[in-house]
Amino acid sequence: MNSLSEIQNDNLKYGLFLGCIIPNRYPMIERSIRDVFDELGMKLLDLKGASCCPAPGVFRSFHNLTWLVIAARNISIAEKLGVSPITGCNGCYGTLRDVWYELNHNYKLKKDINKELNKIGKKYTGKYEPKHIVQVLYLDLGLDYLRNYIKYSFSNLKVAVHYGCHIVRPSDKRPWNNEYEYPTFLDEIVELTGANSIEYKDKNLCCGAGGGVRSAINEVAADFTKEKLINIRNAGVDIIITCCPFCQLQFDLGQKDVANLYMDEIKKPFNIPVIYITQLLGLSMGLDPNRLGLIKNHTLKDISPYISYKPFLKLIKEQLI
Amino acid sequence: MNEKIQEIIKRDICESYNSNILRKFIDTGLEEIRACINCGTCTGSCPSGRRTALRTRSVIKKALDGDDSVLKDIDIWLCSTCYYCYERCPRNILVTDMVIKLRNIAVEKGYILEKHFNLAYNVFFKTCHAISAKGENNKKWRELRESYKLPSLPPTVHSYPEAVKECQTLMKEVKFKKLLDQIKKKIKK
Amino acid sequence: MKIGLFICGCGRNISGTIDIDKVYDHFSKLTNYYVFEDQYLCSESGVKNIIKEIKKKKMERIVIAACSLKLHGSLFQKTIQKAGINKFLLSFANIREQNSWVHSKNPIKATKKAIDQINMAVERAKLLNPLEAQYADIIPKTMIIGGGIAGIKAALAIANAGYNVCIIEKRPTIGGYMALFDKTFPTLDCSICVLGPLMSEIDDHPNIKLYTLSKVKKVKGNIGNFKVTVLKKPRFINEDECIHCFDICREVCPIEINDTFFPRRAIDVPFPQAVPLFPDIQKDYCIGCKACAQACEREAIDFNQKEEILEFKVGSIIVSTGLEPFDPSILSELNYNNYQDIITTLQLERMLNGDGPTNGKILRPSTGKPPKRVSFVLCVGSRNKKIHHDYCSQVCCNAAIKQAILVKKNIPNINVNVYYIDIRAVGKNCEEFYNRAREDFGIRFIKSNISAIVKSDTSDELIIRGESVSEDMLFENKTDLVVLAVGIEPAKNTNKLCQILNISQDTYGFLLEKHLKLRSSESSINGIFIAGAIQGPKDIASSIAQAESAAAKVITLFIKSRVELDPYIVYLRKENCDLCRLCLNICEYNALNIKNNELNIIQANCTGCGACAAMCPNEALNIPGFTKKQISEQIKVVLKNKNEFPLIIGFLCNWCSYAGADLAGTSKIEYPTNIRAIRVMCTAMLDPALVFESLFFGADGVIIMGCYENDCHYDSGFIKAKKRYKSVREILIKAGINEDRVRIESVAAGEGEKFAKVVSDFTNKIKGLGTTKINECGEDNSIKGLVKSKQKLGEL
Repeated sequence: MNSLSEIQNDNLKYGLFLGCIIPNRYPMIERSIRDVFDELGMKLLDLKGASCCPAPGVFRSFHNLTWLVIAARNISIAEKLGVSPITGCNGCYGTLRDVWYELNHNYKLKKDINKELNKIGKKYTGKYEPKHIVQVLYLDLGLDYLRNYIKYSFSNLKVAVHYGCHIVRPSDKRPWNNEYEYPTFLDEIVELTGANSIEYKDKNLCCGAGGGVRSAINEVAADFTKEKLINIRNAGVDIIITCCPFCQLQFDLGQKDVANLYMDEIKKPFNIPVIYITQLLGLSMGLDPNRLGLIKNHTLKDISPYISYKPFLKLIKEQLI
Repeated sequence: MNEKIQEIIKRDICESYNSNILRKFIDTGLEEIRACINCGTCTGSCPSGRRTALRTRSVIKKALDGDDSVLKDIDIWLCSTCYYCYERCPRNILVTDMVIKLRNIAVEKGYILEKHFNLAYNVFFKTCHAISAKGENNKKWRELRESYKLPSLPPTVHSYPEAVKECQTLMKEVKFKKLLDQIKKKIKK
Repeated sequence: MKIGLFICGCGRNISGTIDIDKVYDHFSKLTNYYVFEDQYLCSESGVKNIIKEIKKKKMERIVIAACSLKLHGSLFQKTIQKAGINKFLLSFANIREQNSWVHSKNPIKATKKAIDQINMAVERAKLLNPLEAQYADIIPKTMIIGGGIAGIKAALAIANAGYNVCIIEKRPTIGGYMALFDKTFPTLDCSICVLGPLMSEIDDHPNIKLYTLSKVKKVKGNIGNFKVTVLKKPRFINEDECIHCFDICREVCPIEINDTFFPRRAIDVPFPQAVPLFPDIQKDYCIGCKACAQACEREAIDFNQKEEILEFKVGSIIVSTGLEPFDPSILSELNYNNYQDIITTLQLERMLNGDGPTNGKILRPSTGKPPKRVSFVLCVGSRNKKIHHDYCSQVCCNAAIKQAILVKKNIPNINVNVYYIDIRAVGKNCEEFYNRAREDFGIRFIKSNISAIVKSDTSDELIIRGESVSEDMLFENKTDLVVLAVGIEPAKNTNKLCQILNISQDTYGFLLEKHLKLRSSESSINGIFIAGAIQGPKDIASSIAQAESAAAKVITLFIKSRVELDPYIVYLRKENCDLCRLCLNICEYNALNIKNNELNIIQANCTGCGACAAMCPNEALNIPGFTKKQISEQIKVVLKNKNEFPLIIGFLCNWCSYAGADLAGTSKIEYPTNIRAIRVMCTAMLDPALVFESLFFGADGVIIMGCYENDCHYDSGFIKAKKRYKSVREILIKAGINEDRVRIESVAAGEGEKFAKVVSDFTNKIKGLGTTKINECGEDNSIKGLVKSKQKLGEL
């Protein structure tokens, strides 16, 4: 593990790849990532003009070459700045990392892609590894480094950790030593905040949104979500922690969908707050809960979060003082 | 022979296994498919199959045997790409990549869901985001951004029109635009 | 000189890749060559034809272009002897293992390479001289490594023939896995009732000496005369005093080792039928309270026992170290480590066993109550490419069927499901046994490889997920106990043992036989035999059959009483010796001395490593068949007709790397065609001048491949070669040649994959460097520099 002194400040520059859902639907996630990384002494550069990653479930499924070339363009923006692109979204992570892996292992493909990029004056080298923000927290900084920043401990908080799929799988293209069935890195970060990560059945089951399923047939996606939520409720937890905005959306908005579609089966609505990892971490680091998006300080209708954070705030209020 | 009897006597016997879908798999380097021993690990691992008619193993088998009805079925679009089949396959077959390849072949033949087409044509190609914060409908999202002290539009393609042009150029160059236009024509018909 | 060249097509094995007609045409145009091709040279008609043609054409040297000399070398030696010429006037071109089998994707280059290989063999053959075979007496004693059923049966067969046997067993008792089974398939007879008497026979046999808690550490020598070093760990029991009343010491021991399936005390016997029936003390658990020592009236417990080093001299060795069950915890979807009620077939075997921890009752480990539903999962760790276990473990189907029947007999109204990919009930009466399981016992067989086993969050049931392949249907079956039919791996530490013995392994680590069908109980080294599951997964019956085959081979060897050895030891040409004494220091075998101002050779001491010959500046010392001139001519003939870039000269040690290259061939691992291999007995016999010569005549790279340092057939041959290699690189720098053109690597006989990888990597590396140019790196100059350097090396 890295200690404080070992980490050189100049190494701690990354390019923040936003993707689509984070900036355009869950801006509090963007805020919390920026604030937490700032507090941790890291510099996040904007990847100006970056586009959709493109989403692996839909656009990759439509046209593989488009997926490769647009992703290579996005990576090339970070390369130009001399930094690794980092993302808070499992889908973007899947795209950027899989494309990076594929192009670095297929010389001919890389050449073909560069031929296309050349037409818009860009170049892909593959020198900078795309990372997930959780990967940066866990592998680049390490738990020992993070521990120094923890101010508040939420010891009576019970958390259902949801990893999502593309942060761990396909494992041959991920940095987690081929662990695809029972990863622990996110639980370890959650437990830094004093919270308890509760085991529940099929913890690594997909949220149901990915692969274009949500946009194809929402009922199918909601059926996945329903199964997960039942298991989570059986385990008796206070909140769900995610590291992907699409999973976050699927659990957040999805709880409404499930209530509309499957009330007969679930008997009563779930109402479990869904919180992104840097929101929880930021809170525990003593950052402003307003900025982290945990206190809804606006009057807009029909916006995220759809499930109220209030029960969560009530639960941790005492520990924050 | 009357129709009812014809329904019973079908002579629906497979005469050959020549499949150009198999050819396409092999051309894209997915020839590991030959290692399949029909063990069922992929289907059994599939969380989508537990609630839908998606049967990963049979879908791929059928496609390889030249039965292109699987391209028209919605089943292949119900895979959430969770990669469990890929991870657990004891034969090192990149199962999820096979499903995605099948989707590619389906779209090539014009089989795509309307919602997906609209997403590609009206959102992705035009804005280069999959979910946009632009336009009158999305005003509340921009305001939400501002409430967190973020600029109303993110520093992505949304803030850089020339970046949108770049992406569109690429999409034209790799013939994605052409594919979309062809499908558009087909839908109109 | 009349050269007879016989080219074998080996069915399509060689001719499928190499254009034999082209090769034939190439050589038949040359004068003094008599060229023949045959579909199978090794067949009876092939052999007869060789004899006929040699006699008819009065040939003087014979070249065989066929498979590796390690396979049919002795057959062709005998053949030409029958034709009336000295059997050492024979040279081989290995165009199968080291060509057609590894270059099948590149037939044109493979054909060119074959012509090169034959040219090299011809050049070597031209310089061969008739030799007398050497003979050595055989020590009529066998060492058997591993005392499972295979080792036991082999030992008894040999001992009953009147020869001495010593068994080296690493555990405290013999009996292996068979001793832990309850019943055996398909007869359902009691395992220990069959095995027990055999174990006692071992104990009582006058010709058998048993060494338990022992491991082989070092092996030297050849067929007929092996020297083996064995490390014997202390049992802490004085075996002369102990009278097997093991209850007394065990009862007082306060340390219970709470293993669910193998519970015992720190001092205990492994099971009541153990042989020898002495208790042993598990040092890792013993707290040293010495309660046992006080309780033992015979004072048989001795805490001061130390490890012992034992030396053996034996004429042959049988390796029967057996299997290791696959550890299912690496397949994390099965949750073997997470849930108690998921067990392995081996653990169920302990439950079924009347002497086991549950006294023969089947219980759920989590509750201690009998299950109502039991599920067997087959192919756990077998047929799985992901974990590099592509093979079928052969016994798990039958073992699971047997256990399913035993479970059903034990609890008649139990529900038993067996999940399988394919049922392979092979073996006499096994298919019928499988049918009985279905028909008489009502066991359900479901075609499905299990995708995951999870635990219900509302009850203590386990849930098995999978697809029923025949019905295209997903299921989530609830069950109380899951039994994983785990596959078979080679015994632990087989890699190390193989390095010690210098024998080859297959790609999964099992021992490689000389020929899968014809010589399945012989290892790659003469005099070392294989028996049982260490050669590959097999059941008890097959293990015994192979053990007795190995025993028969040992007995045949001993009846001959002496063994013929290759005469490849050092010869002296006295007139060339100028008494420079460079050879004296390098010989570690006391084979050279100087008396009355004359160099003398004690051939009996010489092992033939050739390190002295490499040192000799005047070619006074020579190993026949491997003289500098012979090697040099091989290099020259290839480079004169250089037909490939990069062209790499490889020097391959006969014992490790040449066998490794053959293994790459039998495993069909493709690698670039660019290497031209020259077999040497040891890398120590390689004169650096030959490396320089190769580069000088136009080779683009030189690779030297030998054993691992500690496993050298001649003790320190590879270390000597490595020292020389260092100086070679230094000299190359001085001569202005990129020193990376020469590389040295260790490739063991079992490392076919590594061989292919090393050749590929090196070829790529040399591709990057381009063709050899003098002065490519600036410093110093040309050939003169090389010659000077060579002299300098002599001084080193």
